[in-house]
Amino acid sequence: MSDWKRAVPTIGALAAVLTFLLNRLLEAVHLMPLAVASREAAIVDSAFAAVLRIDVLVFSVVIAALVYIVAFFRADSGEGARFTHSPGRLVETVWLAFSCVLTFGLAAYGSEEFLALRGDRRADVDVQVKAVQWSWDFSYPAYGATPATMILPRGKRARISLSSDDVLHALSIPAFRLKQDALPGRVTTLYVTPLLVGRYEIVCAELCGLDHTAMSSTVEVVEPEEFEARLKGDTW
Amino acid sequence: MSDLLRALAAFAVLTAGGGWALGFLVPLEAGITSAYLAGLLAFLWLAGGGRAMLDWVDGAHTEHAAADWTRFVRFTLDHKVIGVQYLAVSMVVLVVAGLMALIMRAELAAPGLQFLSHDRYNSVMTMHGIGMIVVALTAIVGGLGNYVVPLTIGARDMAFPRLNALSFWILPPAVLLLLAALANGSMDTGWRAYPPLAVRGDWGKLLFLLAFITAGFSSIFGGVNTLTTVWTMRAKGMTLRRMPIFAWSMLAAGIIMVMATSVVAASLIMTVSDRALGTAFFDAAGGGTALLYQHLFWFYSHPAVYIMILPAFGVILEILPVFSRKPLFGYGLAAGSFLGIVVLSFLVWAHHIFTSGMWDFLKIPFMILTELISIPTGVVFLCALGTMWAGKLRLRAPMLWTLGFLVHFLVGGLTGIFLADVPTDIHLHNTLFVTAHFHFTIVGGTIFAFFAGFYYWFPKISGRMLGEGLAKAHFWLFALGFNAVFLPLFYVGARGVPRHTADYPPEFAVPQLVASVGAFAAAFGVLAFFVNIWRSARSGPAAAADPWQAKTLEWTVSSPPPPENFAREPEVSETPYSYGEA
Repeated sequence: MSDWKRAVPTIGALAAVLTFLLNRLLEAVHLMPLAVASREAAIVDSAFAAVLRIDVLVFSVVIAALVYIVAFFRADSGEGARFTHSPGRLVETVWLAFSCVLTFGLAAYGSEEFLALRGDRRADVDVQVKAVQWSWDFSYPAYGATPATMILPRGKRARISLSSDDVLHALSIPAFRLKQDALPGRVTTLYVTPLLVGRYEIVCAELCGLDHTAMSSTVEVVEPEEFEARLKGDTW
Repeated sequence: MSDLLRALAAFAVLTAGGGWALGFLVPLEAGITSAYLAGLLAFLWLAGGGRAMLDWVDGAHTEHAAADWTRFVRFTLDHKVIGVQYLAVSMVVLVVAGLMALIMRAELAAPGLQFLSHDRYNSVMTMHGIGMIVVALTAIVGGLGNYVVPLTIGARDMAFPRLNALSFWILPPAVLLLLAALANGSMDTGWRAYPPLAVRGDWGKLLFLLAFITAGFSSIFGGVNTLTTVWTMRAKGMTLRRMPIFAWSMLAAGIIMVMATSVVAASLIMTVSDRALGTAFFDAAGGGTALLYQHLFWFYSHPAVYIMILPAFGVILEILPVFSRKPLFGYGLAAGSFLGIVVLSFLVWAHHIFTSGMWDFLKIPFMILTELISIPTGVVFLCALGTMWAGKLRLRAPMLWTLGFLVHFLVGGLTGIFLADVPTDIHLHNTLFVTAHFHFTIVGGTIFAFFAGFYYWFPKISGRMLGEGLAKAHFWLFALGFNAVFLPLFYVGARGVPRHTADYPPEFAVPQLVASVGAFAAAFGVLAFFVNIWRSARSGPAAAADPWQAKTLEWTVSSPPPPENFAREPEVSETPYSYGEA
């Protein structure tokens, strides 16, 4: 068992260094969109950060073990291959127990975040979105308005109802971290509470034929007073 | 050779001409479908299936084809020849679909449109997708599987040699039909062919669907054969516990091939029916629903990734003991995990469609079940690390690719958690993050394992060794190029750029350019691979029966093995992993 006395601290140190470096690198790169423009975006970002931390840790431990193995257990190291079947059961059990805990932990955390993300089904504003090859039509039945871009009031919960007249499309707003398919023959819904005033991109995230690449639009988040004024007036 | 040419001519004339002529009598697509079925049958009959069938009717023995190279272009029942034929077809498709990837990466090297239209981009992308799916499903399973499985379990051939020939010979017409699909109309659906898009547009899409169905049947036949072969044809004394782990993985994959592929075939046939017969399975206006297709499709297509990856697990766990000089660690656990993956693979399909419009609370069980798969998959890593631990590693080409598999598949698996987790998936779904993730699992997993297995078994198949220098060049160019393509795409995708698009915002110019350069580097790696095979065929040193000092049965016979494999039926009295005593 002299292997383990050297191996465990070496692999542990290597894994710690790798974890540190990777976390630094990923912070610098910043994988998610820079704008956190909705209540939902904050939830998704925290879920993403949590999974990323676990991933980096698992990745570092496995890679550290691999590096150690490749460095120290080479054919030219002079010794014959040694093996014993006795520690197998223990290692197997520990590994399985560890992966079960990790998996169920992730699943529980994911379920909780999902319920938070889903939020309640009550809304202050109703927006209807009709997707057609290859553009988006927005309408606000309560105001009888059909602006060229989607307009949402900051801090209010919006219900976005989606439908399609032709093929599948998906309304994707990366700044909100939300996405929902639009299907012909039925209405799907999306709930969002925008938190940050600004203009954000809408893209189509379901392959919808020829000009799928160009099927984009804009969502404008404005203060509630401005929202009322613009939808009641003609300034859209 | 002349059989093959005659068969191809009959196929082309009947399918094209017959489709055109029938189009005057019945709806065009119904005509094309019927003509294609006739063309396919004529092709099979003329390619040599007719003779084999008549021999069978007469109770006569179908002779093995001649011993020279022409046997590889003939209809034969020999599993070793069929294995090589599968390898050849999958490598041709790899090159074609790989060129499609290069065209896409050249287009995406800079923002804006360079030389493709949206239309052409969509077509190239669809062909790359379906082509690589064919490669991932046939290179290991059809190629290495056909060649190695009977040898490694001590059998003379597959359980059903005629079925084996059938499952191979319907593949080339399917590949030709796929290429022909480009001739008419744009292929703008991607390989998944979701209706309603797949039901709209010109008959090129019909050819695509028919080709997909044909390839599906090829896979079903292959699955039945593999399953039966491993279950019933093992040598005397080879109990389940003494079975090589690659055979275990093929057994597991065979179960999925039989049980899942028929479901995708059904959904594709329903799509063809919507097009050709005017039914409305997926048409909301006629009372159908587009979402039904996605459920049926992923009920197959998620298990399908395990048809790709289980044999890959088998390959690397077969190679590791040989190049570590140690018994396989956790053999029983690994075999059990394969079966666990088979069961779980059927219970996770809806994680592909979290944003498609399914009931909200159904997402939770699918998330949990999906994450459960990480437990049996993690076992493969445990077995790999445990096998290498305190071993005497020989870093030859097969081992290098195996280590590459472990690193890249680890990234593929870990990034999958973001897509199983509902909150993060809603943001990441259908972005380039998904593209990067599945390339890390399928290329980083299946293709790395395929190359590992290819370098490992090539001496057995050809009787010649491959050059180690070119193998290393292949590995490093491919591995570095591959990472250069897909690591940046994780970033671009997480920032919200959707996939399936011919363009992207200018702020992502740098990572996209890196990805394009990486693709060409990886392509040069593949070029080194083919140069290596060509040089080995011309002047490679002869391979001994057992060049790697391995202990499974295929290494007990000459390289290449004689017809019918074993002069005397082998008898097995221990596991094939008894290394390390010396």
